[in-house]
Amino acid sequence: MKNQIIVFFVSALMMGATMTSKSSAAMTRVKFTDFFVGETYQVGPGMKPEFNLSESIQALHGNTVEILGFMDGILPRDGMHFMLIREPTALCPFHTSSFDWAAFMPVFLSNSTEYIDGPIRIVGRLDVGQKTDEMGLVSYVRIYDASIARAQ
Amino acid sequence: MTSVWLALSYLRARPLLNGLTALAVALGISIVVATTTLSKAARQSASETAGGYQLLLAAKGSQIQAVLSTLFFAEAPTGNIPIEIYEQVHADQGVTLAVPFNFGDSFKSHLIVGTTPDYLHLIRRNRRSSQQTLLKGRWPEHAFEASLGAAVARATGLTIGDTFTAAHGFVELPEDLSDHHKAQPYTVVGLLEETRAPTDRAIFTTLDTSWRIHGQFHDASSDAHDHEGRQITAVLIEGRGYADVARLNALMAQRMDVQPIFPGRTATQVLGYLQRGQSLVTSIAWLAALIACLGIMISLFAAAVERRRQIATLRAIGASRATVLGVMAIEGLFIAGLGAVIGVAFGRLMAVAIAWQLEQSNGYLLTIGQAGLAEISAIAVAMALGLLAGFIPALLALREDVAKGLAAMT
Repeated sequence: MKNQIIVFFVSALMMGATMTSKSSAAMTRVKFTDFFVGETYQVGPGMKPEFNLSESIQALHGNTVEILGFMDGILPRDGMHFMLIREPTALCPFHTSSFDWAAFMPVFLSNSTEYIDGPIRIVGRLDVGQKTDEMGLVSYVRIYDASIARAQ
Repeated sequence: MTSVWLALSYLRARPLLNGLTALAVALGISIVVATTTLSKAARQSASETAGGYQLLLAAKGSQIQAVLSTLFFAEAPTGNIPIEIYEQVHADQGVTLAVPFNFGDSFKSHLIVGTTPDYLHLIRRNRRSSQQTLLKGRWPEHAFEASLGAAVARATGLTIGDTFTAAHGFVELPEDLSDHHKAQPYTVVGLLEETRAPTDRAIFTTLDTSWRIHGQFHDASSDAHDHEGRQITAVLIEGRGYADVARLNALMAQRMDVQPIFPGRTATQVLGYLQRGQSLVTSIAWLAALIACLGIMISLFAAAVERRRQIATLRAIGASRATVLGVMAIEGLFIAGLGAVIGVAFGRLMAVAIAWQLEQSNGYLLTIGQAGLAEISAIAVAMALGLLAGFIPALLALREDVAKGLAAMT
């Protein structure tokens, strides 16, 4: 009887603990500054610089990565993808003709989200290479099957 | 099984004390449940109202004010913008829906909103339904025709064919002050179905109604396409995709007379303010629940002292420490569990009552969702606390010497 109660109590505590802690499986943390080598700043309309994806980011293609950033304000109705931006600026990429190509990245989620204020942590499968993505934009780096959490 | 039976009979022996302790737990849990349920409902309603690839164009000023005004009909607008902005975005290839808004008048504190039939498409998209029968009667076609939101129709008793006169602005003026728009009564031509959204609280009319009222529409018989000088308060647009919304946002951000706003982001900011208050209330409620569990502990500790002889006898006839421990733990578990279940029920009742009261007084509509994980975990946490509250006095009681306990007979 005593053992049963103790087992119940300990398992209840453990359930509580696993509910609050986040899974800490091995993954690589990447940063926006890791994406490219060389110039990434576009100074005017049509003045896109030559892009060189870094070797380290290309090596991570298909791997599960973690990245911190902010959410851009433009969200589709289903909340399944958004633009991750490096700085919490009121402006998002494409707002001006001059912007940093290494400051934003499309994120495709596995579960719907609402807009989240403040820094967020994205974990998902990294996809590297130039293509027109599912948001209809040309992107060089993106994340699929992503999960989203508030970064503390 | 014997321990459970013993625990229950102990509980039955002190119905008032245990009942009161359970009630204390119930009150604490009910506040936790009521606040979380209400805030969930508020979040739900906000995300349904401000969702999609949307961009709001309004006069410069507070973004929160613009969103509360245009999407929630709960504030005065930030100002006026020229009609050409609406015409520009309406003609844009990347815009799938452009809904203009024109605020200014009210009837019995219900806002009169000038807009176009596109507003109906917006409601349909917000409700994620293709249902076409959203409107009984028809949408206003001419100035001073009106369609009523469901809550307005219910509150005023107006129906198709009735007429009413509006007051200028957002405050209802006393009878002898409110003769400003007496001359032009509105005619009800349509009734909207209930949407459980801000739509229910408003009256809809055509854009030119308020131009006529405010003299911007100088000559009704002149060329209808002459929009010079006409103004609206906001345009809500929905884009085809990310790139179109970003492009329009960039375009509008350069203008001096209008600002682009992402409604979803602003709604989140508003909810963020509310959340700070809510988390304070919730933590106080949890503190109350914790104090209630402390009450369980005190009650069980008193019981243990009282039962010193019984415990000693039980142990003398061969009951293990575990049995004694188990009995008291089950008592704690039972009191907390009963309290928590009553608390969840009472808390949800409280949330429904508050939502009903809000709807009656302000017309704010909150739909209380189904009970879910939050309620179950509230019960689980309360029961864990109850178990703990039973354990501690039991451990203390077991430290007593059996012989001393038996000798304590008088």
